[in-house]
Amino acid sequence: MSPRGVLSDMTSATRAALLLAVVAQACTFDEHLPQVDIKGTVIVPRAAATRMILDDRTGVESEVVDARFIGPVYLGAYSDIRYDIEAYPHPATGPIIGGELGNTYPYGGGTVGVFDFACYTSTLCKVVTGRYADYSSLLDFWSNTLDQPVVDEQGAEVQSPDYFRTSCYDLFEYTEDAELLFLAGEDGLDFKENADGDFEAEFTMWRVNYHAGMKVWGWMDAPDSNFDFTTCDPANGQQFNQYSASFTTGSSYIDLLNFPSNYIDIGDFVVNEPVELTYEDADAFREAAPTFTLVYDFQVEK
Amino acid sequence: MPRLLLAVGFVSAFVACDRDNEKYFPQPVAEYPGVVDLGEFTPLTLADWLDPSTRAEKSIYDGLGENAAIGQWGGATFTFQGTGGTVCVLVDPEAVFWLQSVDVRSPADGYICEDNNYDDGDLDLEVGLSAYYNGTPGVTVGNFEQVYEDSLGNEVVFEANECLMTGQRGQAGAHAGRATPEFCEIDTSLHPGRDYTVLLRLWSVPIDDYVVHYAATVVEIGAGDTCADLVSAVAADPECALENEGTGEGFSTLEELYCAGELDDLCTEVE
Repeated sequence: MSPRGVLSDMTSATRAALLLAVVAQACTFDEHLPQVDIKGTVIVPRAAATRMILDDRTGVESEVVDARFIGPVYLGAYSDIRYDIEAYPHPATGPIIGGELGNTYPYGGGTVGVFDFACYTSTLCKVVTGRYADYSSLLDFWSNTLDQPVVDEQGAEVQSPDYFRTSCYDLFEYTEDAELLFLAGEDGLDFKENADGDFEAEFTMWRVNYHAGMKVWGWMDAPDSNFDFTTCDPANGQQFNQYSASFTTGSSYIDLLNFPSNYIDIGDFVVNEPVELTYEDADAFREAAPTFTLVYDFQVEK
Repeated sequence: MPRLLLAVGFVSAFVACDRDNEKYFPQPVAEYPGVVDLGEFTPLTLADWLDPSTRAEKSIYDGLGENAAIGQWGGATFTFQGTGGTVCVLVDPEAVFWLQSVDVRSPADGYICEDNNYDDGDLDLEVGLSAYYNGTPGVTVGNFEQVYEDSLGNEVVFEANECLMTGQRGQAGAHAGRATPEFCEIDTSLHPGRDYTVLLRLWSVPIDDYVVHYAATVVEIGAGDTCADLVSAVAADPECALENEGTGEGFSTLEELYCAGELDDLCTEVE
């Protein structure tokens, strides 16, 4: 009997069951990809979210603890982390070509928070996602804590959240706040204070090439006294040319994980003890589905 | 009528067959091998460079023919030792003077002159530590690609050519076009005394004699100085820093006029 004959002899229910079995089998197909998603928690010390702020009116300097001080937190997977290359733990590097630093050749990476353009050039390279719940949160922090109010393109201070929203919608041609990445909402804020008074957030490093023995390491880019970040390239990002306005929206430098020491500066927080991944291969890692904790406890001093 | 058309087509086909374009396919020239190694070169000092006769005397003047090994790169190599400072490496292939003005977007002086399109060759410059050069000097032309193996055995191909020139749109790794001089600074401070290899990759040979003549040199420069500074100290145009690289008839006269900014006079006389 031909295969066609066999199928025609089956009832509809049998054929449907057979089809379902075939489809279900496809769902269990394991590609054995060499890439894995690494998940876990980053912990930055309380000091990373603490600043001494001078009150101009009273002349009194006071300590302010605020998660909005926390800069982008970078993570990378490397062959090794060494303690003899820089004054802080640093990934092993490849050959030094010319006067250039050696490339670390990372296997993959990720961040907790990325630079985003908050609609005015006065915020260029200063706003990190996951730090502000809404417009008011950003305006309040910049005006009252940083003493560096957001100003529009005419130099006027932006005080109204509605004006802020209007400017953003006009610039990006958006229609709702959800399209603006720098607005996280109360539930979308990355960092929360833990029982020790430090700040922690969940992370995911997507599609990292897995190599048994690789180490996950990273650093937090702490803003300087002017709230500038060394890891942001103001000439990178989306280009805007509208009427008399011409600017780029800024973005991270593209080789942060390849040449970290070009960007790590005094005040940044580095992972002192990297996490080593010892699973035999990517399949074993996926099966175990581990989570890790990375502590950014080494403050760079020189 | 159809017969007439057939006859015309037949004649046309025969005329077309009468063309012989073989000369456009460069052939090897016995006196000028396609792959040569020039040995070790001693970089010029700044004083050497500033003196016209010493500059010419101590620089390399040679020629490269088509590589006899079909489908393989041709080129010349030579080495120099890291000085511990910065050096400028420069190559000036023949010829191209008037073609630079054959541009309808920005026509310049000399456009009225008819160019010789068959006397231009092209060499591309690459420089790196000799340890990273994967060719066999004088036998085969290679490049500076190497493999780095990290502590976990993961292999990454990296480029160790340090002569990275910037293109018109700011992109690194560009090369100058037809017969235009190429130059770059090499920082040897991390590897004093180590051998560096200069590769003059044969990109094209002139059609008139199948040999691209060229001049090349390496000059010590101060930290922070550039090749452009070095060139401007002796000439307004990189074409004129190393003169007489071509051997064709009238080349030196033509170059002299070009470097003196007097090509217009020649064109006027020709007219």
